[in-house]
Amino acid sequence: MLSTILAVTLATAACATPFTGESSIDASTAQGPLATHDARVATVQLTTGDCSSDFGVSTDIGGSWTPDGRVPESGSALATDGVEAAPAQLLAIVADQLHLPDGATVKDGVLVVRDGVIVAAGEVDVPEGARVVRHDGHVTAGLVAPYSAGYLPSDESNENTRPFLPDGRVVYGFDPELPRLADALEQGVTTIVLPPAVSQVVGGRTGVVKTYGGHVVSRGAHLALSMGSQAANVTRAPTSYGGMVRALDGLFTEPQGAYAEVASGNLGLMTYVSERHEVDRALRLFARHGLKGALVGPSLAGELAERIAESGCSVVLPTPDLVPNERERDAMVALFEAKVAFGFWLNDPSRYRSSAITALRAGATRDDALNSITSTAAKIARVGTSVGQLARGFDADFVLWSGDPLEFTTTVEAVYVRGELAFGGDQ
Amino acid sequence: MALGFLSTFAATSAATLVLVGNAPTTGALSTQQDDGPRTSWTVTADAIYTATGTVIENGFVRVSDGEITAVGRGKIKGDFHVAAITPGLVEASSGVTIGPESVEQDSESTPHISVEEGLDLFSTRWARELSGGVTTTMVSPLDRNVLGGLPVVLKTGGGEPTMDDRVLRTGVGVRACMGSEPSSGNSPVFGRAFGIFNRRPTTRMGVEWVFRRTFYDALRARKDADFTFEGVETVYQVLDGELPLIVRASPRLDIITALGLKQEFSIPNVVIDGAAEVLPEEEAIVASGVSLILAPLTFDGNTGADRAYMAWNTPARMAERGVTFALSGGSSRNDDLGLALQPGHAMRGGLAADAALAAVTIVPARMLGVDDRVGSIEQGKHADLVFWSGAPFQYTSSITGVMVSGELAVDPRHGEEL
Repeated sequence: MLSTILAVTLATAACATPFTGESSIDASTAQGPLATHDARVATVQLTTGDCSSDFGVSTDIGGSWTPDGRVPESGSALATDGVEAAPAQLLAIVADQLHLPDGATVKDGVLVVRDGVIVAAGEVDVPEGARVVRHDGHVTAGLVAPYSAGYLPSDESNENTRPFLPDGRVVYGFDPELPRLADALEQGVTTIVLPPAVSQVVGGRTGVVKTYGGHVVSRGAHLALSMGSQAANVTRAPTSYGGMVRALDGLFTEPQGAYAEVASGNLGLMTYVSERHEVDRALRLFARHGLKGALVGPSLAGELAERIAESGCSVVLPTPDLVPNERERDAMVALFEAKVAFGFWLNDPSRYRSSAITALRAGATRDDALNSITSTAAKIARVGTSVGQLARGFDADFVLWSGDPLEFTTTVEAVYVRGELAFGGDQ
Repeated sequence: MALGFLSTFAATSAATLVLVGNAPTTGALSTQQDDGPRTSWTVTADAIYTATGTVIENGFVRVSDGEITAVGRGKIKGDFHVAAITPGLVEASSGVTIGPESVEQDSESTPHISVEEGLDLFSTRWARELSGGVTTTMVSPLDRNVLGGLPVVLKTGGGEPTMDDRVLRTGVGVRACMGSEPSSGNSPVFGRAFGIFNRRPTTRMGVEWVFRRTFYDALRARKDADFTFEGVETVYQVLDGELPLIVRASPRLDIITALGLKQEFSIPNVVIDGAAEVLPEEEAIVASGVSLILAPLTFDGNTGADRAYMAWNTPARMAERGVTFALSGGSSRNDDLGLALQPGHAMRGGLAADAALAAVTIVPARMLGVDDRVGSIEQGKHADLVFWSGAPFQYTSSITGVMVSGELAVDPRHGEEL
């Protein structure tokens, strides 16, 4: 249980002070003009001049400030019984079980956060002066969803006058106030990939956002292709798989612009394919042009596991049934055995974590199962170096669970996004 | 039993063996491969209908690694015994396409676009074709365009469901369609224009215009260096006879149109698919030199293709007139009228048994340009075999097993250990 909660991190001059035993955090991970604060303190959301012009990777658009630009007084509204007096800039979570990136779980592990960024995690001492939250349960990285459906305002994901829109960015349709984001947050999901709709062949570029605070992690992580039947739209060209493939072959032959970025690996590739023949068609296209990326949607992808493994592609599976039928289970197992990186769709947030539990039940290792909704998911989302792991330098997005996150009976007790208490905690 | 039926075949003498292989001795009959399905067998039969004009009584077929290595006469011990063997059937007009996604309707004339990318090799329909004895099939784009593109010939099973393992031949011909299908569903603009259907033909007159425009454009492009269009090279190939024009035409009026277009553009190589109302245009067909893929024979004569009617004696009559034709079950929506039953219908209409067998095996294989690998039981060809309970194509006989590329897709060994 949460014994104490005090979640205030501040961006002040004091932030730069290195804490004992650790060098100061790298300038690149110290986020711009940032001041996070407890949600219970009334503030307005402002966008600073710096950020509005470019909300690229790991840059704020939703930094919170008090109306006069002054950050709130340390701990002013939050002190509860048992809280040690401490400077505001350091937060230490002491967890009964702390999940580290290598799969290890540390008893009484400590997670140290400053300025929304993890500065230490594991068997480290609680730094002097840090405010401490003791949690009698498990702590993992915030869950990451490599593909989401329904997290953009309706119709904002589908530019249906443009079957090929490589420079479109769905992030421009991202509404931080969308109520569903809070639903995802309450289930421990802190980062999601927003894809364009699958009804266009090249729907645009995916965006990666936080479910809290309006943070945009990446405004163009992947070029999103759809090679599903939905993209063979009978009211405009292309109407067929043949037409779709001809067009894509043309675009990836001596590629320009976004297609060249994909070919060089600078831009990710996320391809929707729901049927096995669509997977087959995509793999043949990729082989012709030396492409790889995430294959989204094929529930029976595992029946082509070896070919997918050879291609270097990852797979994002639709939310499986709690107890999948034998064929789907066998297909999942084949993916595990072929060592294909896999993740799951986010649609119903209350079932997101259960996808990993289903994978575990089907025979995935505990690490692979948990990684499928954290670090592997983040890698598929191409933000694997900033979210999805409790490691130094990563965003301080984490979940305080009542117990083992891979148990059905476990519940979310608190969710932090960038070191800020975003959901739950002692009230 | 099979032997009674043998007398109806042209070649019944047991002396006319294609090849007498070295009859294998017992033991070490076939080798079992380490991984993957077994593809080496020795099968014995009361009668082997090779589709080379020969019927071998009390013979055997030996298969190694998916290929026929010996066919001969002799009572030997094999892996299993069946009443009769025919080659795997070759369906020249299969309906195994995904649907509208198999044809690019961006334009109503897409002669150059292959159906290859529109295939679903994981569809359960392949297994259904296979259990009906069909081991090779041509798949065309769905007939929604006037010039729909390039069909492919592929196996219905064997190996993995990959293009590498299944496709036998591309560049078989160019698919065209006369009649109502390319125009069905299209409409002129009433009020707001929506989608591609507003600018497509709505009548036979419109369909023919699209076809003729494409070919006249190609003739113009040949002379005028400044004029060209996408797919023109493919049309050149048709004009030069390098690619056959495989044109769907079922009722009489469409057959007349197809023959007229052949004449108008001097197209050397034309196959009429779904040909049904053939007899009224018999003379024109004979004179034109076209080959036919006949529509499926049905119990009431209505083929279901543009409501075209086909008499049961059509195949017999075509054989009599020396027209090259294949039987087909592909356009049928009724599995009971599948390819394996077509020869029976045709024989009832007067076609000789050996011609009926050829019309579902070696003749379509030749039409599709794959007779070097499939279509008959001969040394060196794919081990595509159909096993029968009695004389093939008789109503009282059934298919008990199917082998494709040496793999037993349908196992004839009831209750035996595999």
